[in-house]
Amino acid sequence: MEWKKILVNRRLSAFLLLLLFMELFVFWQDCEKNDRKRIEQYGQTYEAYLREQELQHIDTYRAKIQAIMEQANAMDGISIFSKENSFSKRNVALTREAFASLQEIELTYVKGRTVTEFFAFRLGGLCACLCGLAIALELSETGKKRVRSITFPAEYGRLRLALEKLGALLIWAFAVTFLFQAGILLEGTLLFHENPLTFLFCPAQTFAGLANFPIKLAVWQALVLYLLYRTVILYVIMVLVWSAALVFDHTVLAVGISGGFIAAEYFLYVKIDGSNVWKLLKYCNIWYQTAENDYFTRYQNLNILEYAVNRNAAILAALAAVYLLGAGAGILICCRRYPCSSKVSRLHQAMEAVRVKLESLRGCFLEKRSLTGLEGYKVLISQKGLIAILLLAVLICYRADFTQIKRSTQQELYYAFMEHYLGEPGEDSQREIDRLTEKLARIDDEYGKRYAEAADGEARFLLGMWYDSFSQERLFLKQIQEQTESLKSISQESGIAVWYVNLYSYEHLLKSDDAMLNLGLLLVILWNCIGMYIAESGSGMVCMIRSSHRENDLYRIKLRVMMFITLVVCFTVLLFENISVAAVYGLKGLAAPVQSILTLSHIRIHCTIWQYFLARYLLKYLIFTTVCIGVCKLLETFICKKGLKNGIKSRKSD
Amino acid sequence: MELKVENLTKSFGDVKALNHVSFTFTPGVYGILGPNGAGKSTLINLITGNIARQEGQILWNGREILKGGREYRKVLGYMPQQQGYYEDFTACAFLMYMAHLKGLDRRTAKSRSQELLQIFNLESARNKRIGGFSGGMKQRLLLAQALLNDPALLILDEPTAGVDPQERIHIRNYISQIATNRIVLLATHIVSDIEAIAKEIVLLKAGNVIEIDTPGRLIEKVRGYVWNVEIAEAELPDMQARYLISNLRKSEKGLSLKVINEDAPANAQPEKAVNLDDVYLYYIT
Repeated sequence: MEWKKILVNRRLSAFLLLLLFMELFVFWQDCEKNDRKRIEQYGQTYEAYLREQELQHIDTYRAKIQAIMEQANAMDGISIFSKENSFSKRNVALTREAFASLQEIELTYVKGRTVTEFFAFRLGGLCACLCGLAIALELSETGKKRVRSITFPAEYGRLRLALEKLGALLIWAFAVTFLFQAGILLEGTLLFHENPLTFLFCPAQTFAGLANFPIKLAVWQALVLYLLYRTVILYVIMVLVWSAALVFDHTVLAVGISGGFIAAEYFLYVKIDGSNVWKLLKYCNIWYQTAENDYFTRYQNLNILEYAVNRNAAILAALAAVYLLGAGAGILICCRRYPCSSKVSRLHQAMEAVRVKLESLRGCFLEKRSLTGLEGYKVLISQKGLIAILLLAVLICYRADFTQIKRSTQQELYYAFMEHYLGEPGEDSQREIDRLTEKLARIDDEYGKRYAEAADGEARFLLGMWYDSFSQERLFLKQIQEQTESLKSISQESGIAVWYVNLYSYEHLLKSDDAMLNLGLLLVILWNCIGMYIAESGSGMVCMIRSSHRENDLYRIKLRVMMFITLVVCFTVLLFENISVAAVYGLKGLAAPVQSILTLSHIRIHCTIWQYFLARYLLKYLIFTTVCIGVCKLLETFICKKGLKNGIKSRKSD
Repeated sequence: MELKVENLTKSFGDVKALNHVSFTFTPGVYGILGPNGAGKSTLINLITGNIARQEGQILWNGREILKGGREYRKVLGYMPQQQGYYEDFTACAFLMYMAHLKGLDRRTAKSRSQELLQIFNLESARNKRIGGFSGGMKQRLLLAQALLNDPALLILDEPTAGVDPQERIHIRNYISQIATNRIVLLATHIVSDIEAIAKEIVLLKAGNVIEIDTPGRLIEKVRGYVWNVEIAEAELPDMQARYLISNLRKSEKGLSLKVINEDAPANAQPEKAVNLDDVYLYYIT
């Protein structure tokens, strides 16, 4: 029964689904970003790049394994590695044993970007961990003394209940792991149009990412093993949090101490070097286990009292000990501690004092707020509107990429040209284009002559190399000639004196105004609108508001607050978009006619680029504000004023 | 100052919650009594403008309340039966919020909130989250918000539900004290609250007003129909089947019953201690 508690908890279920959605979205964005970067930097698709890597891996795999075996044999002959009862000797033996079975594996290339991306994606583990923590806290029923005072005297309310809770944690550890990891696999196959049957039955080592996986298994077996391993890790973390929550019996305290523990773990994870004597603290660590995948894809033995122990086996053993400790403490507390104990620890007293102080401060803060301020507090804090806005901020930050893109020579030439000749195409720019055209024509001529004179293949090969070194300039020339031609024809057709502007920056700005971001913005506005009015309905305040003097004022204030939130959110999003584009690409030539951006050449209105973007953003804001007002009015009518036809009619005169 | 209800009718589907109800309220406390579904809450919701009516009118000082709009709501104080509040707000913030809604300026709102928190013993909880309040505290807070604007028309739906006896008496006395210059409508199931302070009692049954009178006169009207009967324990099932029994207690002969019936049962003596519970049972059952 215990596991069902999570299922019927709407808030937790919604949180779980939200995280799942976010994880899938981030995975998709990650893959897109990989594609985009590869094309922008190398002019090559990510698929092609992966194919090259995988083919290279398959070609060299057998040799790599052979090298490992030969190295192990060679090390046997070196005295420092062959010392009896030493870690080195045992490590060499264990490694040789592990890799011996991989010698016979025959690898052939299979398209399986899903598997590669799956093992490279790190957020899945963190999302699952976050859900696991929420579930563990919920099952600990911290702060629900009244519930405990009913269950504790019941026949099965102690040991059996504790065991049931441990069972529920296991079920949810598995469910959450499966949901978050299998979700990625499924999304991958859909995104990359891959049939899982083509790669599931291949040897796991087929993929470069799993090259050092030392067990001879098919991909599906390796995936199952990986999911089970993840489940065990998550289960132990959940049990630890559950028992910590029981020990402290105070939600804030438990969350605070868990937070401190997680921060300490992060410190160990970041600071401890992999070769340090404290390495087990790095590997048997929440962050390492949830954010990294390399324990599964990388082979390593640890030196424990001069014995070579496989890292995963050592981690599992350490986890088992931690599990026994956590589960034991939890069971003991469930069976022995009275739910209504009169003892109050000093820590609890201190926490209570802090809570009272904070509440008092909040009380003072709220007391001084006007109706507008209180409505803002209700929607942003009470109804968690601020969380929605922060989630949107995370989404924007994640999408914005401040890393400078490595430009090709062609792009460097283009940027330099635009920097220098920003403005209307004139004689200077044309002279520069002509100069480059002449230079490349001379090179073509020279190449033709020297090719005819070249005596042998090697000379021709070297000549070809020399000729190819101008290919980027040729591409640039073609690009700038096309842009110049387009600008000329736009000028002739529309009579507008268009400019040379850097098309990379503006086209990126137009592209960044995409559907996903607008959807996110819309969802935030809807979330806040719904929160604003649902709060009245859910709190049972509607009847009191209706009978109050300033009812209609209140709804006007609500609308104003929502419009203000919409304005701030829209403005921040747009500002951030522009700043990120300006930081990476630069935004010059804002005073140029908008038709200078070739994709906007069809616009027949005379306006500059900045005017166009301003109008575009204003329109966008107006659309969102209209949606906001519409939704607010609908909610006001259907939630707050439902069944009050006479009243509404008469109150228009207020 | 008067509130006049004329020919008021409200139906929910086929069910008539109020059926052509008419009466006039003047300053003082009016107790509204009736079983569940009698139409008490419907009547209150109509007077507070929380639901639309189908027929009839409600006049505040001769003016239809729907036309009165803001002016009417300015004199209205309402405490609903179902506890409505924002869990995240502190008691003081909630009162300030309601004071803003009632159109009080900041200074008045602050002093009035302070005063009411003291009156209802909530001063120590002024900066605590309402979500952590007990049922009785929430009830007192709701009553405080109804009094913020010093209303001329105060409507209280079950104001003492969940409140401990000491606080209940305190609240009852306070209501009685402030009722001298205002109209207070008090709907409750706790008959003793009304008995102590009500000027008049309105008895509602199935959407109809079946009686309006002072508590004393209502008791006098029923006095002739309340009997005391001494019986053996074995006779109880028969008595229960035949008569309406208001009270039952052990006596030397067996059981002493308080029976409500127009005709005297066998061996019955007229009951001297008649109260509003008996009136309620007589009219409602």
